[in-house]
Amino acid sequence: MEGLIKFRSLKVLLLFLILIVFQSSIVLSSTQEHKIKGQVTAVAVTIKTITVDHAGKRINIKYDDKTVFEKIDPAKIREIQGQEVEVTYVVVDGINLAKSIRLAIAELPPGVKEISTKELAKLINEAPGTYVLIDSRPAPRYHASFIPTAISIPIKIMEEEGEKTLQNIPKDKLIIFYCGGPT
Amino acid sequence: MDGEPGWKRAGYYTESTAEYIQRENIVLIDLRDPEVIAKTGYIPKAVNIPMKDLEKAEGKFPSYTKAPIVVYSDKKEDLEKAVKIIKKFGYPNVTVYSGGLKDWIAKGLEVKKGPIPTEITYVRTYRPFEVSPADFERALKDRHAIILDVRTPEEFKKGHFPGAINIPVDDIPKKAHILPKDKPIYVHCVTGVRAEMGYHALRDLGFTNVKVLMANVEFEDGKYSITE
Repeated sequence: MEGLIKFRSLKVLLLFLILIVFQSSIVLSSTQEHKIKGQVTAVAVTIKTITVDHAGKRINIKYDDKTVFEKIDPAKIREIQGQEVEVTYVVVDGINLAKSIRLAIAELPPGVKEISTKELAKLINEAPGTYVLIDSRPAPRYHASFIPTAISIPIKIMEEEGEKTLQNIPKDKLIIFYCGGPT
Repeated sequence: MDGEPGWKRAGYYTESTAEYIQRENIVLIDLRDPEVIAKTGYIPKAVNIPMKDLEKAEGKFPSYTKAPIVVYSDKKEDLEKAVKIIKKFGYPNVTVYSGGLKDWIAKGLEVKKGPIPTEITYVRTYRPFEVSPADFERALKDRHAIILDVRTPEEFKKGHFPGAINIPVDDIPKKAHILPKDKPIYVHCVTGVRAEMGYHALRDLGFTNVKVLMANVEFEDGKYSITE
């Protein structure tokens, strides 16, 4: 019995030790790199700062001459507003400094083709009824502003309910999806 | 791949649903002729600006240029033209309700009869973290809130609100401790973009009573102007 208790308290002690080591490593590693993905909600060129919505939390991140931009033209940084980006940054004196900012562009699965805005406009005007246009953004954004003839199937609902959401869509028609940008 | 933003950038119009028109605080414009509207009735909250008068009606539009505006008509070609004209006035959030009154009735929704208003009365709704220009200006007089200017010191030097505290966004983590905690803090910059960044930075530091002035602020010859 006694041995068991000793063993237990030893285990607790060990756990504490691990916790202490773990915590101090967090403090020490404040210059470590953070990697986040999210939508850019604001761009302030005057102070070289962007705001990224990361899982509901808004994070301000500065960029400078050393920041590596991928698929983004730094001269047109305003255009990343509303787009999805991947950012790596470090924290210096309470300021988040970007090491890299990359535009997150979705890779299309094999067999899926891209349609241009122009081609879509032609289809809507000249060939009504030959296609199904699906807006996969959240419903409130669809209600506020949708491309003519589109129906709304938010991606969230499609993920949750699967094939059921598509069962009324004729299989012989061209199906076109769109959302809020190239992500 | 360009999605809905690319569609709008290409100059095409987008549509809004009947549900949106019913629920949201928007400007709804009926482009038909008054004689037609007198016979058919109109969608509640619509204002009549006949298509032929639209080009001369810029002065009727709200001062807040981001106001959501929806137009409807019984002529499809008018919708396209109207959107172009209103965008040219400087209102980017204009959409169409292509189904018009016919679709509205088909959905079993309420139709209004009698004289239709001809003046736009739009009162902007502020999000919970925004302070209205009216409240902001009141704070300048009665000091019920701290005015926090998050522009650069150079900008601040050229002109600022009386009694404002200047902490540029970047310095907030270091200097926010000088801010009193017993009063609301109203944050401003030139457009609202940096102010909102400052808001998030302050929230991260534990300031809970913070609001943002989402408006254009200019200083000239010792005078200020706030426009939405």
